[in-house]
This record gives sequence, structure tokens and C-alpha cells, in this order.
Amino acid sequence: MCTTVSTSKEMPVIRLFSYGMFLYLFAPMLVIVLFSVDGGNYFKIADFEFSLKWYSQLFTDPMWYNSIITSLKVGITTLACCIILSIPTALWLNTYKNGVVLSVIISPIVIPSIIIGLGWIFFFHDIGFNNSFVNLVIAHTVLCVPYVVLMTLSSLSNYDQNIEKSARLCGANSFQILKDIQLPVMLPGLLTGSSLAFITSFDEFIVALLLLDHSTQTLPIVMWSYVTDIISPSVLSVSVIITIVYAVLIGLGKVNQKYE
Amino acid sequence: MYNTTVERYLPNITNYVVNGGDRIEAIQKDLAREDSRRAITYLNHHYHKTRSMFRKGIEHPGWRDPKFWKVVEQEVKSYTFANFKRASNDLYLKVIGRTYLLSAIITIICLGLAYPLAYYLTKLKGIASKVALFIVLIPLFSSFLSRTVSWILLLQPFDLMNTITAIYIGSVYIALPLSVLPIYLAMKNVNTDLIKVSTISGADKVQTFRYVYFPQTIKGIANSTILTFMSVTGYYITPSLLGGSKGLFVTEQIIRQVQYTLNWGLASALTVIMLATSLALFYVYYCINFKGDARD
Repeated sequence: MCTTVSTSKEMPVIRLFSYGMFLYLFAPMLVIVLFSVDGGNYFKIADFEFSLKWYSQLFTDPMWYNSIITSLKVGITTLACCIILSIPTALWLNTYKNGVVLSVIISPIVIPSIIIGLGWIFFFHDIGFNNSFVNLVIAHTVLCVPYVVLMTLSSLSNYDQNIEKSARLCGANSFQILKDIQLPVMLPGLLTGSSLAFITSFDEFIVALLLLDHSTQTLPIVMWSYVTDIISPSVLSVSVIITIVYAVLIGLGKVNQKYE
Repeated sequence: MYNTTVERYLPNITNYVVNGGDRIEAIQKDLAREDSRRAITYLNHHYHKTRSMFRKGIEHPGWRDPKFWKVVEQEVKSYTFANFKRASNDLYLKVIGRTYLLSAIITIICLGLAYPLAYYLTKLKGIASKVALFIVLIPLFSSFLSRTVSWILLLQPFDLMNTITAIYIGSVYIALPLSVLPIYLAMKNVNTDLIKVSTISGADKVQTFRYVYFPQTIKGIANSTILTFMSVTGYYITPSLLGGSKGLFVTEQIIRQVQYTLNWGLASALTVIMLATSLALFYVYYCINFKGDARD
């Protein structure tokens, strides 16, 4: 099955299987794009007619409009918190390489988010703090910080501590070292991590469902309410736009790393 | 301590909040008690309608306000294993067992699909490999909800909606990119010299795979298993949209307890059981990935 001479052309079974998998992974995307520009209401290929009315609805329906604004606010505030927390954490971890601390920080990636969400809802209820926007930002920061820390750490992996030492010997203070030496090294990882963190916060559903009240609703919550009784095609147009924005954000992260 | 006051003077309501049962009967019994008014003062401090509720009897709309019951629950809260007893009764044990069984099946399907797919990906070269990797990762670019919605549209014509098959198809689709990545990374790092050596030494393809190639990818398989299993146990959107809100997954039960029945104690007991499993698995993950690095 796997000698060095075997190339992709010599394994017809695995190749066919993989093509099947590509179809399985790609078909749902095509379906979403197709039906998001369909003017009919019933999701049938037979009465397909091209129309952009579901896209224009996003800008006219206040429910969509407001939820997008709320999600952007939550995402950007979360991102700011993540960046502020990640810079010192990554620098510390890069110096002391503590596996226990690192695994505690990245645990929110793997632990189901309902556990973290439930913990926060009990905590905020017990201390009687009911500002749902701030609550959500705090909970999202915990969920998103691992991505920024991990990516920043990977940028720091070839950081030469001697440069920092020589700068200190030449009389640079800590702020100058941070601004002129450490930040430029961290920047690519910080940007890649930021795009991942923003996507995570923007897409987060379960914690938002638990923490938000009816006055402030993020985009996934509104999408959920449009999906649970009857699927409104406007959900599909939102999905297409979201996918494009995510792809651009991830692409920016990649380009940035290559540039470095 | 005030929490014992509420427990002592409103025993039936307390019993209802902790153990469930008939709410109306509990209210009637406590309204009939002469000393119940002692607890009102404490409760009225936190929930200001309490006094008029007791004065006007069972007709007062405040009895239907979930907030009141939440306040009572907080007041009678003491450290107890009652919630774990409830969580370990048949129904909830079944839900937890079913969640892990379904997650295990989904993980195994994912591994079976991901291994050959990752192998094919490592064999591709140049632009083809980039395009293929992009297609595999594309579900990660789109929002969680839209991925599930597209499967509703795809499965409806085949009458598969609200079945367990729909849950399998949707969950495998969402988990597959996550399970391909660790295996792919492990396969990228396979030492090809060892394979050349084994071929030169006369091993056939099956032997080379069994004794040389496969052992080098085991770490990737372990990582992929843990990541996939842990994320699948936390699924909420996919099973409840594709499976027809049957409450098959423990996450659905937890959210139901938090949002509708307001039994936060039971919800946290279920969550703690989930957390224990997650932490155990996470420890394994930690041992595989970080323990070596920390010692270096």
C-alpha cells in the first residue's frame, strides 16, 4: 500500500474513495450557494429562478441587521481582550515552557463548550452580575484565547532571546523591547490567531444561547430561530456571506504567514 | 442561616424544587402551614412579589414566574448529592450512555473515512494537494449552523430527516475535517527512509504497512480519536436539528434543564459527569502531546 514509489495515480481504490469524500464534503456548500439565489420558497430544483431577494433582506430586516451588529461588537471586544491577554501569556510560556499551564490554557478548544458556558452562567448568577453583553464577552474570551496564544507561541518559536538581552544591555527599557523586538516577531501569529479567535466568537452558539437575554441576540441565535420552525432561505444567504468572510480572514492569516 | 429557614418553613416547596413532583400540591400544602410566613420575609427580600403571592394564595400569577423558583432554589441550596442521585437514575444514565455510544460510533466512522483520505492527501503534489486540502477544510470555514442546514436540504428528499442516520451523516460531515488533520500531519512526518529499508529488505506491501508505516501514524490516530470524540459529545445543533429534538445527546438535556425546567442542579450534575470524562480524555491528550515537550 505504501512504498515510496507509489504515487496518487497507482491507487485506484483509494483515489475513487477520496473523490467520493471530496463530493461528500463539498456538496453541502454547493447546495447552500444554489438555494441562496433561488427565488422560490420550496427548495426545489424544478422551480429554480435566479433572485437576490434573500440577500437584500439581510439589509432591510432589522432582526438580521441588529444581530449582525451585536455579533460584530461581541467579536471585536472579545478579540481585543484576547490580544491583551495573549501577549504576556505567550511571552511567559515561550520563556518557561510549562506544559501544564499551556494545556490548561488550550483546554477550552477540546472541552465541550456547554461545560464552560454552564460554569459561567452559574458564576454570573451567583455574583448577581446581569450585563449579558459583558458576560458573553468574558465567556467568549476564555473560548478564544487558546487560538491566539497557540499561534503567537508558534511565531515565537524561533525568537532569539539574545537579541532581547543585547537590547537591554544597550539600555532599552521593557516597553521599547516589547514594541521594537517582541511585537514584530509575534505579529504574524497574533494576526492568524486573531482571525481564528474572531471566527470562533462570531460562530459560537451554545454559550450565547445560555448567557444572552432576549434584548441582545447574536447572529447564530437569530439563525437558529429562523431554522427551528421553518427554514427561511435568508439563512442560506447569511451562510454564504459568512463563509466568504471566514475564507477571506483565514486567507489573510495564511498570506501574512507566508510574507513573514 | 437563612437557607435552612426556607427549608424548615417551606418544606413542600423545597422538596418540589430539589426533587421535582407536583408543584400545585406543594404550594397548597405550604400555604396551609401556619409558620410558612416566617420564610416569606427572607424570600421577599430577593423576590419582591413573594408576600402578595402568599397572601393571595394559589391564584397569584407569581407562582408561574420561573424567577421565584430560581430564588427558592438558591435559598435552599446546600451541598447535596441529591442531584447526582437524580442524574444517575435510569433516564439520565441512558442519555449519557447513549451520547457516548453515538459519539463512539461517529468517531469510528470518522477514523475509517479519515485514514485513507489523509493517506491520499499526503500522496498528492503541487497545486492538487492545496486544492484537495482546501476542499477537506472547507466545512471549517463555514458557520456551524449553515453546515447543518445544508444537510436538512440534502436529506429531506430522501425522507431521512429526524432519523438516527441523519444524525450520523451530519455529525460525521462536521467532525471529518477535525479527524483528518491530525492523521494527515502524522503521515506527513512519516520517515520514508524506513519504508525504503523495509522494501529493500524484502517486506511486501502489507508487511510494510503493518510494521513500518502504521506504527508511525498511531500518535496521529490517537489525537484524532480524542479530538473527534470530545467535540462530538458536545454537539447540540446537529442532533437536535437533524434528529428531530429527541434529546438523544446529553447537551440537549442540559440545555433543556437550564432553559425550560430550570433545574440547574440537575444540569450541573450532568455537566460534571461530562466534565469528568472530558478531563480524563484531555489528560490522555496531554500525555501524548505535551509531556515529552515539557521535559526537554
